[in-house]
Amino acid sequence: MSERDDAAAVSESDNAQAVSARAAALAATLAHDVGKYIARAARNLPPSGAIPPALSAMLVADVFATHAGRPALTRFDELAPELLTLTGDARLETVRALLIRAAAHERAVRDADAVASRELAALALEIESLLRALSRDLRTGACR
Amino acid sequence: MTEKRRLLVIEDGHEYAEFARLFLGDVYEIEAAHSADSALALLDAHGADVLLVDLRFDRVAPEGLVGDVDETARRLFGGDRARALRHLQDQQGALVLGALRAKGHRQRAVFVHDFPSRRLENLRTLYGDVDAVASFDAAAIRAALSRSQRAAP
Repeated sequence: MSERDDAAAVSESDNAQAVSARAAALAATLAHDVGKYIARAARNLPPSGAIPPALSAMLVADVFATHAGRPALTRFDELAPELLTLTGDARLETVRALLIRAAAHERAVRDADAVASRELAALALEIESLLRALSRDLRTGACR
Repeated sequence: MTEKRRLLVIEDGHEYAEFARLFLGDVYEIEAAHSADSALALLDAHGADVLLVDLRFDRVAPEGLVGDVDETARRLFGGDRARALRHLQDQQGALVLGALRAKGHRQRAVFVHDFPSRRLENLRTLYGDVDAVASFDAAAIRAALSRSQRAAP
């Protein structure tokens, strides 16, 4: 191997590390800004019966005013495209589809529809789970 | 009637305090601080039995953070101020806890964060009685706040 080959290999390796670090940072931010907060009330709904108004209001805020007063989908769309380019991970497309389904529940949940609220909570938990798994995988190098 | 224990929430926003008031308010008297200085002031004024700490503070101006951006950039990031600021924001809860420990406040501190196990061990080495819960799980947070240091996993 020549010095030039070695330098190219080092450069390629450095670039791969930088891309990997950037992807891990983006995934961690997504897991935090979207996943963690979207599931704050969803994880704690009573198992059955009516949902207390304070908890219902928190669920609405978690999904539709998730980050700086803006919906989870808006924050997701700020972060996910670059991560999708870097990783091509299909979970990001799944999460976006779930967020769009969640958005369709907004009016009913604001109107205190318990069935819609529980469906929204289930979507929120699924989103959290996917984003956390993605972040863990990128942190540990499991995504290749 | 049993007197409530005192919980100090430390975060850059309002989400932890809202959560605590809704899910822990039956057991804890809750106060909230948004910086190391305000946490120290509240601890000096009222004390606290336990701390619930956010890790990321990305809604606070650099001058309100524990840690100097320029010094951190020089020491850890080859002079890159943007990376240094991000680091200070991302780790601010731990840095605030360090500032409280330096002033003698040894209460159990619980983070709501999905730490890798080695990172949590590091935090315990640095800051003593520390625990973490991966998500806003009210029952798990309640249990973590009430566990004693020796019972920590």
